[in-house]
Amino acid sequence: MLADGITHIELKNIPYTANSTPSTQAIVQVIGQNGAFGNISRLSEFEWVAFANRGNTTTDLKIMWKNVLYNSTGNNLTTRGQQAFDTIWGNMNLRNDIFGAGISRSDAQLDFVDLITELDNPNVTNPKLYSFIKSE
Amino acid sequence: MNKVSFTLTEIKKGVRNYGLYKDKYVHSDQNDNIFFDEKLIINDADGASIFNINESLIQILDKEKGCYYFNGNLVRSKFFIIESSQTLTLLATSAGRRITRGVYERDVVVLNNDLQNSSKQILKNTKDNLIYYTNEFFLLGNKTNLNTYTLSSAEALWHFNLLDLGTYTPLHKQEQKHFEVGKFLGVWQNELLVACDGGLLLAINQESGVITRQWQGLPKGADDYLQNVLRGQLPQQDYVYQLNQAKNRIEAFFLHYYFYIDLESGTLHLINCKDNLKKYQIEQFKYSSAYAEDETHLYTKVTYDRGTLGTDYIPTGLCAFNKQTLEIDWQYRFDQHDDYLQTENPQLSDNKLYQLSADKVLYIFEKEVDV
Repeated sequence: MLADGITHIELKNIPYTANSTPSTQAIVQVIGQNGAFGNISRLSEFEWVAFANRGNTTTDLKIMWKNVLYNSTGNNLTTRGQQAFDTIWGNMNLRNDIFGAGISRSDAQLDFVDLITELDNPNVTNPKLYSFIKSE
Repeated sequence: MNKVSFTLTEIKKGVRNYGLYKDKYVHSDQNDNIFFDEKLIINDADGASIFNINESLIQILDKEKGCYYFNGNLVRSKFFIIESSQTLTLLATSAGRRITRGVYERDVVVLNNDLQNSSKQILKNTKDNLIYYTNEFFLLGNKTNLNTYTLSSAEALWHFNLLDLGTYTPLHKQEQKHFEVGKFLGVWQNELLVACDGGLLLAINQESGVITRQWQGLPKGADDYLQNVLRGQLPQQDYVYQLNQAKNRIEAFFLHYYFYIDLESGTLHLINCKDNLKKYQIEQFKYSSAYAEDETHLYTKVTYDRGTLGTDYIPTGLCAFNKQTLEIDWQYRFDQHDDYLQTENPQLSDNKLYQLSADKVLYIFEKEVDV
């Protein structure tokens, strides 16, 4: 946590590729109820950083996280994706930050899928949901 | 001096979420059952979404596109109200109709006292949220726009675009961001008070839409530590600001400071609480999106100095901050780490203080008398 008291940073000294699967612990640290998504109020308060000197690229890291959350074959959320959504929905501050206020749970879940698959949209240069993923 | 103290009187496990109703509470369990006073009142709602509209009205979202209201009785409705205590009419919006990701259309309606039926549709297919209303006008908005309309005929009055305010640099970042509406704080006299992401606080004339005052940057005299940590800015997290109960101060807790703006004079005040916090081994206040308040105190979350306490984690707790002395009167330390209270904030009823934890335990403290 930085000195401003709110920025959470998770550092990873592991070489990942787009096809990697992060460890259970690494996933739960982000999407679990007691992980980052359960404890931050804004998505911008969290950074998940994998060291660039281990060959990590931001593009690969984002694809890897997309595969954690979404089953592209079945076009649906994975179990982890559903867990991530449930955690965000249970955190009122983060829920409002990502989905806005006054939205139903079913609509928010549709928005969540759209936010995940936005990574495949060539017209979107900086997909919002992946903004916490960095290679430095 | 109106000191205060509390005793932990109840520990209730398995509480997913809760809302206060008079001196009792409505709560959900992990299976989305909703209870009031331990009696099951709904068996399949969205247990994560319980909201206090006011002290005698609770809203619970259902799993479709409607909600329940609990006011002693249970009412199912397809309209969503916002609190407005001084108006003759009750405004609400219909459920959002999804257009695309993040874009929803709603209607603004006058809701009958039964909370179920609407007698009049005021505005159709707006993409904005209802934020605030008086007997004369209502305010709709999103992150970058504020729009007001007459209540009688939904005639547009004024429009305010935050993109006109330019950009700011987020702390520790390189990029430029536009200011966004983060939190509508309330109204002081004729001014709408808005906290923006980026550490900008606005006062907007509610009749004209013109900015009357704005606050940005730390007050003069802020110490070197704070200047260094926040780079001369007010905290950029819009959610930390709150209009006080008397509605004459915007206030916030951050690091080891209590900050407020006196709305009468417009002056910024920064109270360094470090020495006072140190007496209780408290390191700092936690960034929070709401503070509980009564006539004499503010209640908020704190973290403790693990070095002094000799723990291998940062303990967390609650404190009562005396509004007159600007000192801590009471604190309670949980033997848990700093994320134990997550983003849940303390809530207060007449003589009880409530705090929900990460492991879904609701702690209930009772106020002691004659402190």
